[in-house]
Amino acid sequence: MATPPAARWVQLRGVLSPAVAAHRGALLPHAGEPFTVLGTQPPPHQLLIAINERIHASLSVDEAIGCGVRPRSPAACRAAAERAVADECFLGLARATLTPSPRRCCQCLGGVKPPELGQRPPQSKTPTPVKGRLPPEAPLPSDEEFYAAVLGMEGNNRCADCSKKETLTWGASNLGVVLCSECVGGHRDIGARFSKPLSLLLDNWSPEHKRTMLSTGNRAVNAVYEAHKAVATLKPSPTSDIESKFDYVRAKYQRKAFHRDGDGQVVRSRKKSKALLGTQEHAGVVIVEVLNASNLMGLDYDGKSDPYVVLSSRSGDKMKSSVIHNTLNPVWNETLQLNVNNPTDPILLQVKDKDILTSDDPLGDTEIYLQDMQPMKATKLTQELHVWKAGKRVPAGTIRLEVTWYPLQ
Amino acid sequence: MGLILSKAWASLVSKRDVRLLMVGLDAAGKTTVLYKLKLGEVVTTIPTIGFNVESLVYKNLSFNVWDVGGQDKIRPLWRHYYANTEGVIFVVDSSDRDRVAESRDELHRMLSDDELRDATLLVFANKRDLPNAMNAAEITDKLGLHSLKQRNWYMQSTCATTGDGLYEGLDWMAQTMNNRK
Repeated sequence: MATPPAARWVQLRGVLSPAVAAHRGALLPHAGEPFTVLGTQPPPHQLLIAINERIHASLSVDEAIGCGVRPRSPAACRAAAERAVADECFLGLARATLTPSPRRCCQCLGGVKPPELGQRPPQSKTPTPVKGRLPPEAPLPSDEEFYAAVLGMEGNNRCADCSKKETLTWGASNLGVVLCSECVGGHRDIGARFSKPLSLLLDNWSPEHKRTMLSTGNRAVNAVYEAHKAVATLKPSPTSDIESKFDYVRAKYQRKAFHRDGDGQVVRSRKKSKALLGTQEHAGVVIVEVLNASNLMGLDYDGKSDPYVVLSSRSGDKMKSSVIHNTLNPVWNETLQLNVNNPTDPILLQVKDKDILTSDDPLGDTEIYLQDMQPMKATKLTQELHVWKAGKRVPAGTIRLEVTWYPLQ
Repeated sequence: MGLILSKAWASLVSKRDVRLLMVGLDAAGKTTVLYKLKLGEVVTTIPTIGFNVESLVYKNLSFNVWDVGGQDKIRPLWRHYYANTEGVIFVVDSSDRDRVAESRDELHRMLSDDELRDATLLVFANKRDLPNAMNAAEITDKLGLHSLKQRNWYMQSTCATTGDGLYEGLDWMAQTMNNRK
């Protein structure tokens, strides 16, 4: 069996008439605007509409021409073209001219006289809505709905650059792609001239950027930015190391190496020292106002202690308060802040006695549970401290706190 | 007794602690600045959701630099770091002309907080190596720094990936802090 021929590109240019623009809604640029149509033939039969080199919409040939099959013979071609015109196909209606060299199918298309659109009554048949694309006048989703709307678009369930399915909380606001928390680092690296990444959850999106996200998406952008066959071997996988992902992002968006006429090369950057902070996702920030403690144990020779507080989350983040010298009833009134990765893990609070020459002794500990707390609201807590003595937990005073939990999502 | 000894010991070995807060819009390069200063190397960063904190010992001072994430919805958390902050490093992406006004608004909003009334301000106009980057004078103007009457401020253009300008800025900060004590 013969291998399927490589995708070839057809490029068409034209100006849209108002009637078509109105009819096809968001799939097309505004009426009167010059545009470029990029199409692949044979499969995947993807047609892309670009304005000023920015992809505006992508649609399958089926969606666009409504002919359902790839024309094979001149006769079939003509029939398809006529059907396309009958269906008010945008290719025919746009009076597209063909560059660079005419291809068979399109030669036939060129032979069909485009109808006078302006005088045509609008078609009664309502166009099939295309999943995930936004009509131009449609109201934009609220901030709460925006994330779900973006992720629900076809092709947006994976990172545009490494195909990772997790941590898809970033988007390049000028390109319209969804990114994972690693590849977004690469986008920040290449600078705002090429990519303007924002958090889908933590940034405010302007209507213009929302529209870009909702009218393009990974599939459409990659059809252009990953048109080169070298992508098959060079595209990183979800588990590739972060350096390779950055190199790929740089090649793909900065040098446009995988455009159909790109060089198909990834240039390895000089090895950076280390990947920072892994890929931790933070669930939020907890702010603990350490007020005071009372009835602590006296561990120094004078019967007093030099207490300070250590807060730690299970992810390893740790914060210390200042030391209050010579007291069993310290007053700190100090604010500590801690990153939290998993809000179901309790936060460990330890009180310790500062010693100069020996290691610091424990004065008691307790745990703070964020789950039961109302987010964004200060909660006053008075908690018992306990220490281990001869294999048993014994009470060792109390501590007063004011805790506020700020979940980030 | 223990206290006296510990204080004497501390004055011999420790340096004065200065708490610095580093903020700015997302993707300005704050984390890259922090680790270039701390490690002398360029690290691969992903967006900071939360914060990084490192201490840098420089010219008799121990700077505790807090690098706080810059996404819109976590900017209100910046204020929790204001207490006891002696200096603010505000990082701006010189190449991002679209968002310099947003930077200005965030900067002035922050500086209007009472807890920062005495804090000195160091502005890093970062990414100066990128084409079409704004120069220091242009950024000074666009950030409205000349309207800051009572504030001790300094503008330094930087390139965090090469380290250019970072120590010049820190020199100014150290000098200002040493004059203060």
